[in-house]
Amino acid sequence: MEWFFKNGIPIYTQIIDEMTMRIASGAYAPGDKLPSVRELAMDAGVNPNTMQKAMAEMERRGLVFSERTSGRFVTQDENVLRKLHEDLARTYLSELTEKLQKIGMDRDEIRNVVDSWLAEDNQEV
Amino acid sequence: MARIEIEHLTKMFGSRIALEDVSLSLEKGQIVGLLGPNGSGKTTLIKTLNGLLTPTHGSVRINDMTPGVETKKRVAYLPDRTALPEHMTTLQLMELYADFFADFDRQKAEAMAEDLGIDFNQTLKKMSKGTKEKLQLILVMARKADVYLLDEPIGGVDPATRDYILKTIISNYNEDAVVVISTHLISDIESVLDDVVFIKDGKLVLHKTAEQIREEDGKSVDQLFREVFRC
Amino acid sequence: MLGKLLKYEIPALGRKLIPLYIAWLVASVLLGFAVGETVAKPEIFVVISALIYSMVTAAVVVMAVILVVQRYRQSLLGDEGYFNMVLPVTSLEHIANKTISALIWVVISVVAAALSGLLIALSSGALSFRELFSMDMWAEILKGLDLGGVAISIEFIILALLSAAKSILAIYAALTIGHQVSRRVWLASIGAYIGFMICESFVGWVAMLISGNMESLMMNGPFASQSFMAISFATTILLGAAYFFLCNYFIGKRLNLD
Repeated sequence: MEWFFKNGIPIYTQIIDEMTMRIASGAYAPGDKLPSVRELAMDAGVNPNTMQKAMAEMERRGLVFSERTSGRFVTQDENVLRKLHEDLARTYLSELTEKLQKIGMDRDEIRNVVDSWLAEDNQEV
Repeated sequence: MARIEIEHLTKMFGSRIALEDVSLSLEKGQIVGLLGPNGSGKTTLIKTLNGLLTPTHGSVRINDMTPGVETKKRVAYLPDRTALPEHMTTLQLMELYADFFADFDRQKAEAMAEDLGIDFNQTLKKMSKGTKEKLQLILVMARKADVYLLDEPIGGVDPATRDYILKTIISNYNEDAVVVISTHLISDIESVLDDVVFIKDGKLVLHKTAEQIREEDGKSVDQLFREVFRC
Repeated sequence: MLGKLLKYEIPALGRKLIPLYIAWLVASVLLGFAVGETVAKPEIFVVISALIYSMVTAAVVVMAVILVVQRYRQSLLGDEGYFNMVLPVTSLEHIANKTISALIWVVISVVAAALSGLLIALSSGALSFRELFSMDMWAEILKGLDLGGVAISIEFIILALLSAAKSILAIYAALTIGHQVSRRVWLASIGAYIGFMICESFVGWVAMLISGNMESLMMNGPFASQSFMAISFATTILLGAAYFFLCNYFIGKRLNLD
């Protein structure tokens, strides 16, 4: 798995975003054991302290939990996962609507455009 | 107690001022980037830490001791040049390290050498530049030291080797040790750094964490460096 | 740690010197054979063997001196210093290591020289193997050298060793000072060495005056005079210690590796 970091944004933030995505997309499935901080740091090419900080925040958000001797695991809490998907969806939707509004569409036009897009892609969805 | 404590360090060579009133405290568990253009004083600073240079004014302390036999036991140094006897083979060099450094992990060194495909029976003289650098790095990183001083570890090597070196630095990470990496190639290593120190014309001009720079200045360390050191 | 340093230093010198010693011994056999009277040979053969022998002898001497200088300069003050001077070893151990190793090879060189002479004698036929192992001949030689007894000979050998060590340390001190004071290291080192030699003659002259021993020396020869030996020991040890102290001070407390 490739990590790509942008300039000017704290790496720790970017790690959290990436790990969150991996959980949301199922790359790390619920209940999966995560690699150690050191392994993740090596994989991502970042300082272990930074990775540790990011993982601590992931724990605080409830997306992962640690079992003292066995390591860190992805949460299996359905509520947390559902909320994660919902939050992500809302973020993307808000971005989409903002952009479409910027090019002059109102709410009805947006709804129509989304519907016809989904209808076209029916076979693939 | 900070691992490395530098107080008002000034180093002059005759009338030339190489370092001027540098004060710096480096804690254990940190990977620190000592960044600056060539000739800014980075190597001079590192050499005062390992005892190859004596301060003109000020002091340098490692584990609260001045550089001497006791600190040398705990400091692992990778110089910016080949300093090992050239007629020795890989195996002989490992023997040499094992002889003089009690914290040298021979098995780890051999494992790393195998990973990199280094010939155990080849002499240093016959190795390519890249292989020499890899071997010297392996020997240093296979020590369990309190302080690692790496002077331009990724300077003359290809990108794949550079990656391996950075991965080795990360995987070797030990929360009791401090790793000081001196380089002018910033974008390659900045994601590995905790603390960042800029040295310009022998003076300390910045000491922040890399993340602070990204957050507060909104730039990568590399971008900030280019600004600060603009010609 | 000194033992470990020696473990590496002694072979380092040997690697360069042993091939020369072997060549020397071969050249000795050749020369002996050439000058011997048992078989008739053309003149040119004698000339060539003599030439080869002198060249090899010169090579041994030159190499020994170069090595003593280079091993110190390069490995402590040159690029290898970046490795050697960060070892957890005191400056005292470093200097002792270099001095002892150099001394060992000086002694081995002297032994090689003796062997060379012996081989020439043997292969020229001037000496036969039987004579070599007979005690009478050796007793004759010893008497001829007029060494004044076993005790004096041992004293003399010890003095010779101390003297060699002192000379080696003088070279080291000159190199150290040269490195310390100037960019033109070789010039400064040679200057320092000359300075030391001047000091040494001065010290020797003062010692002579103090002991008031000139006449006794003239009359009885060095080995008869006990106080001459004592003075020699004293000055040699003093000078040697001074050189050692100089090296140790600069390398231990004032190191500045470029």
